[in-house]
Amino acid sequence: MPMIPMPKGALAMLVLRVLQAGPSHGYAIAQRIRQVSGDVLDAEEGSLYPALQRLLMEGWVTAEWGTSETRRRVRFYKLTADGAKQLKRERKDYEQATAAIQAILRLA
Amino acid sequence: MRIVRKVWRRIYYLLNRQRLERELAEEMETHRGMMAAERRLHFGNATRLREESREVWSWIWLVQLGKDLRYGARVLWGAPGFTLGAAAILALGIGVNLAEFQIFDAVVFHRITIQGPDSVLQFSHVSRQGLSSGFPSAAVEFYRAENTSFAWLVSEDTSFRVVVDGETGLRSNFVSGNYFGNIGIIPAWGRLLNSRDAQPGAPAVAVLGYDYWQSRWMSDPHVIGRVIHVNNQPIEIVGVVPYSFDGLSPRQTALWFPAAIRPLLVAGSPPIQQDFSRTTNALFGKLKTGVSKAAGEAELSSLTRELIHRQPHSFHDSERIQGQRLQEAVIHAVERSPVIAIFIMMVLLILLSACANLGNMLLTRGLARQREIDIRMALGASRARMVRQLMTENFLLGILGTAAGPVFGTVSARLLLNALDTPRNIQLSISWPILVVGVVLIFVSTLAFGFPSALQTVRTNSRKVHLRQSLVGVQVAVSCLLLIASGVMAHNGIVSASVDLAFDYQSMIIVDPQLYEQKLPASIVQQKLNVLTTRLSALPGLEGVTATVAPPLGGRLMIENLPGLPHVYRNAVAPSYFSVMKLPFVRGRTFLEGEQNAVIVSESAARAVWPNQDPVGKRWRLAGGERTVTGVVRDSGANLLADADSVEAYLPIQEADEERSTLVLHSRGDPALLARRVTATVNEAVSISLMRASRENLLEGQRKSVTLIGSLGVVATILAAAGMFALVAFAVAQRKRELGIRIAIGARDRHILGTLLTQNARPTISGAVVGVILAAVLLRLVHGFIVLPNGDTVDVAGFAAGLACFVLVVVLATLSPVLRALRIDPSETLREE
Repeated sequence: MPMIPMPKGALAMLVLRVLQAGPSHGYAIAQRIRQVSGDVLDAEEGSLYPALQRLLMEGWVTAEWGTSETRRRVRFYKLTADGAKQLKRERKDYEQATAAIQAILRLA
Repeated sequence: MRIVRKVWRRIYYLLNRQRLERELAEEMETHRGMMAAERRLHFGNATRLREESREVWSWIWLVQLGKDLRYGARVLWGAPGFTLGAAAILALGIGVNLAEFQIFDAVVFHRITIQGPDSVLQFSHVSRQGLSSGFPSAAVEFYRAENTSFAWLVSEDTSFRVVVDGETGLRSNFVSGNYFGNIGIIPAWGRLLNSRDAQPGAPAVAVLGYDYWQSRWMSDPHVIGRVIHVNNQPIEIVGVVPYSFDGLSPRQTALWFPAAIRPLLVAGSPPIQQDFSRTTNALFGKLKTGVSKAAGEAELSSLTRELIHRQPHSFHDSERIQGQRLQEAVIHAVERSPVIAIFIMMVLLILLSACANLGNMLLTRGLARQREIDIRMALGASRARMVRQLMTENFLLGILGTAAGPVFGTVSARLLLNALDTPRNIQLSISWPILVVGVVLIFVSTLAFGFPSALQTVRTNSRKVHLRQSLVGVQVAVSCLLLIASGVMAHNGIVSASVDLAFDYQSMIIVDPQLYEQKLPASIVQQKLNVLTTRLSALPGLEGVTATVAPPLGGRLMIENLPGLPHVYRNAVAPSYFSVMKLPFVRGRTFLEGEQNAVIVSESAARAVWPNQDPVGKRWRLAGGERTVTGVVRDSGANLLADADSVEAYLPIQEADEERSTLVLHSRGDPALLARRVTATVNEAVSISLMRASRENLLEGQRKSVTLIGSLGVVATILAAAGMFALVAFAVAQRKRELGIRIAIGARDRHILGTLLTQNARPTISGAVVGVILAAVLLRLVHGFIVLPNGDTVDVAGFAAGLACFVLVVVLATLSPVLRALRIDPSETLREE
């Protein structure tokens, strides 16, 4: 099983992206990330939580206790306006960087 | 606004820390529960992840620091032996450094114990002819009367020695006007001199220097009002100068007089307002507030031009007055001293050694705590977290060491200052720059040596031994270097003290008529010298009088550097010099009367310039002229005392040098007796000194350097011995079981010894090699200050003595743990498990 280490910032961006679709709890976020990004979170699924704490601290997401589909007590995370702005900003940066790299690759 | 919300969130997290931690743990546990059983392992280390999350909440570092500090304090408290040892080593290293900085601070910045020394200037006059800080009394009085820029101007003249009731050679200081009042000195007893004492017709009074009052007068308070006879003149004592003051250009002073009574004490001196002859007054001033230094200098310069107008030859025409802050003047003096530079370097080396020692102890301690550290890491402590914990402990140790450092530092600074015989008004104090230096030292030392050790401790195995060995290597190198340096310096002291002086210095007196001070025409100089010589020749107890420009051991030197030759110490002497000095001729003859282009060389000069040839009759270009060698004399030894690389050459005294002539008297009996007769006969101002006292002064300076370097050698040795001891003792403790088993299955003493010694041989030997190389380099750099017997280029004896000392220390330090290893009882060792 290939283990691709996940850069911290990228994980935060993925979480923000997942939450753009609507509030979600930790396990669901992890599931969603595994679905879209293959197995990148496979090695250490728990590393989601330090990342979530960072987002909470920055004020990009908020958390609220609730009940899951399987009737467990879980915490739902919700994107804030600041968080949406941050996601947009990070996306733009990322796209600019990729565009630049692609331009270089085309030239070479 | 966003920042405020961010800060508020952090405070919220800090306040609700425990609830939030619980919730996070619950949340993560639920997550794990929801994962399929076979994937649960992929959740990761929950403890570490929780810790990482907590760290995000900021302030966590503060909480951790608090915890680390408490934990560290408990650990250190639990191992008092280690803690005290490490703190002592740090205290030693930091203390020596603080001592050094205190001395430096005291010597450079607090030398002048007066109010507001920063605003006090010392003046010199500069012209195309050069710079001089000596002013004639008449000029001082003129400046004092006419200036408008200065709050006060004072002068002091320390060039006279006086006779008090038969006791000769007492240092005096003639001060102007309200000297003490202006500077703000409070008397230790009685009153000090004031401007009334300086007025014409005032009764002749004096105040005593504190040391003189203590030693000669037994601190007798009834000394006030006593009349003493100074140079046979009755003078009343009115007070005592305080302990902390020795003048603005510090030197110990026995008696202080108002400058105005100088004509009374020094025969032939005109009243000070008219005295242009002696330029020995140092001039100091304090600017009025709002007046710039440049304006003050400009005013004094223009006053000087006015003086030249009134008294044509009082100054050179182009003369300009220039001021220098008192402290700058002192710093210049320190910068010029190579001994201080060497000393500072050595002190830093000691700190290096102490740090290496500490690093080693920490590493040893880390090994002993390996199990604790392994457990904590297995429980999820990250490596960075462990390093931080260990560094916190190191930091606590550093604080302990630094708390003890100043005590140790002050004590050793006191001892050193005493050994150096510094003037009284150099005072030690712990001031804030020293504290800053101390704090910087803790940080540097704990970081530089605690960090690699902490890193190695949490890393798994293997390279610890290398680090330990290189740390020991550093200590060994430093101590080897310092011991060799001490050995060479000490040997140097012994050699200088035993350098044979080929002339009869014991019975010589130097009389300096100081004619150069008076700027007289050559014919009058000649005449004065003749008169003086005739008068002295008539004294009973005198065997001979001769003249020389640079009296041996007198400090006046003329050195010529010729390519490919040792330093040529030139002297100009009268033809009778060699016979009066009892400096024997090896070949040839002395100068003839009036002979100009002749030169007499020392044996070593002859060997260096004309090896295996007869030098007499050879031509030699020296002192800007072609000269013929007329004779060869023994090496006098006077210059070899201070410069091993020196040879001597003697020229006849030229007419231009005549005014700098001093007379050398050879007494038949006790030279002190003759000196007293000279003082009584000569009524002009002359300076009289005994040649044997000059030799003592010269040797004294060298003894001080030896004391300094030697004291550092001792400290370095203690540190290196402690390091070696710890290394071997630890090796024994760690391998006790292995050694026990080996003894049980029949290993002999020499096998055990071999095992233990080879383990430590490498760092010791490589450290020693580095130390020896560094020592050789260092000695090469300072070789001009080192006197060697028989013109050797390396001081083999001193070097060998230092090295032997070092080997002895190494052997002694390793002996006891090794012996303990030999006494290991196998049955007991194995039962311990």
